[in-house]
Amino acid sequence: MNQTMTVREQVSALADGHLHGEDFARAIDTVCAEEDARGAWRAYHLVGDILRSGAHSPCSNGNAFLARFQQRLAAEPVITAPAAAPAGLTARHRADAANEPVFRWKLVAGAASLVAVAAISWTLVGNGIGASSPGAQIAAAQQQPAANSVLAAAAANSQLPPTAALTPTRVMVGNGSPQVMLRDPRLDQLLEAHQQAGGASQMPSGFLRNATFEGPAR
Amino acid sequence: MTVQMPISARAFALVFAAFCLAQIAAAQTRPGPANPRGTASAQAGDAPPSMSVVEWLQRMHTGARQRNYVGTFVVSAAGGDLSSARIWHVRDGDLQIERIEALSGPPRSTFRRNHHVMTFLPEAKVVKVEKRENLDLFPNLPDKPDSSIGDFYDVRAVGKDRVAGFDADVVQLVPHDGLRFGYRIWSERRSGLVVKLQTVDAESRVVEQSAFSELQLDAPVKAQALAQMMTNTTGYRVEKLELERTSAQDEGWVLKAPVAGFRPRSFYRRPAGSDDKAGQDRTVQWTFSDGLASVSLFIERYDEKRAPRDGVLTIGATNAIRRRLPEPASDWWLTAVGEVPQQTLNAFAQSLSRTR
Repeated sequence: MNQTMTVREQVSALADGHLHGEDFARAIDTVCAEEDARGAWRAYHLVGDILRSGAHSPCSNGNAFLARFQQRLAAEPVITAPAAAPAGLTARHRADAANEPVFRWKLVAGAASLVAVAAISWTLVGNGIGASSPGAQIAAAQQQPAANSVLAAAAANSQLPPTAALTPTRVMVGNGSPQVMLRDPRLDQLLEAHQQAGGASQMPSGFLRNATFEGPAR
Repeated sequence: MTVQMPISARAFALVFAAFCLAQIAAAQTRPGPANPRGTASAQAGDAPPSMSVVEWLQRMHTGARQRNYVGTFVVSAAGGDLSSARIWHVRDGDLQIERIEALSGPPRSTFRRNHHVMTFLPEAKVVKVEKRENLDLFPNLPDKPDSSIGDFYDVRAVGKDRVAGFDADVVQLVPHDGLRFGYRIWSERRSGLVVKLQTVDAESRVVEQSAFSELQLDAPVKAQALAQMMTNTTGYRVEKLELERTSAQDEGWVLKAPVAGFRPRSFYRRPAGSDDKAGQDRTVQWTFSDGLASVSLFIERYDEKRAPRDGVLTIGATNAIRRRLPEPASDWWLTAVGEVPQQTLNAFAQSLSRTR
């Protein structure tokens, strides 16, 4: 009797979460071993639920549920492996989503197309200068390689892929020494600001041109 | 016999009715009193009508404003770059609504409702909102031509051509000096709408051209639908551009010698660049125009850290130069941008000086 009381007290304490260490292990063993103790375990939980919620709780046979559950679990032995796999998958998905540089590469692609424009304009401007002033022709011819070497140096120093980093143009300023003007974000801002202030808009189709032309408005 | 009479009568009635309808339709499509040149060009036959530069430009602007159209617009630069966009334009009373959907490059759509412009950048989820000035030929005096354009450009009627399926008059605007580009303009015969435009340099090379590759004039476009698309900014961050007006005098800048034909248009202090941490507190923008081409002078504090190199840039008809100003203004640097030859920008740069 005393023994049973102790067992019931133990179950009660277990249900309340008061048991630790040795006592906890012993109580678990008891509940698992004795049908009486398991009944008490269920009864105490039911009493607790009703006391806490104040509403009627549906009774259910925990053993039957547990048995059904174990049966199903046994019938699906692979469940643990797939359970691990989806976790891996989601982790990989998350890696994808966080992979921001993908978007940056798109920008790089956009910048690369601009490079093509500027690079060709560069040669054209070079030709234009040569043709317009005969005196400058020799100078232009000499400066061409120099400008190229500046480009090469800049490309070597660049962190980004060279195609994206450089949008070079031919340069003749002041004393005629060749210089490169990079298509930096600041310059793009200014080109855009020029359009906002009505640049090229006085032509009847100027606004369409500005909105269509990819150059400054990237 | 008795059967044939009613049929021919009916046929006659039908033809008559069709004729009446055609008249009504013609009356509806004929431009109102605001476009007095509409009939002039129709009478002129093969040769383009002889008009002054200003009259031509007025006709082209009116054509662009008064008609509804849908088309594909293509811009190509001398370097071989090609950009295209789908255009919708609708006029609803005094309201001009335009939608420009870029077909090349990063996706973006630009909407214009009179002077209000919104640019949607779907990749960045940003919409830029601004109010643009100088969108019209004569922004302040719509009916009073700025006659000075005629002092710097001559007009020559070149002939006629066909663009995007439409007959067009071809005229050439020839500059009087080397400070501006020339233009070859294809203007749709009936409406005056510019269907093709070439920017030509002093050596008669085309530096940039734009044209409709396909065009539907008087297309049914719903102003309401476009206006609605413009207001739908859900999911976008709205970036509003506010410019502070100031004056060259207040900011301490002057042009020692004016550049022929270019008159000052506006002077703004631009807000510090949002994505620039460097001290750009005092970037000012001084704009000039000769009526067709415009130039912006951006003046900023020289920044050692960024060490901007002097240089030039050419994108189609747009040129830019950047240089550090000479003593005594050497702690400033200038970026000049415009649809003008390089030498025009140089002239501005040499003339710009500090008053204090």
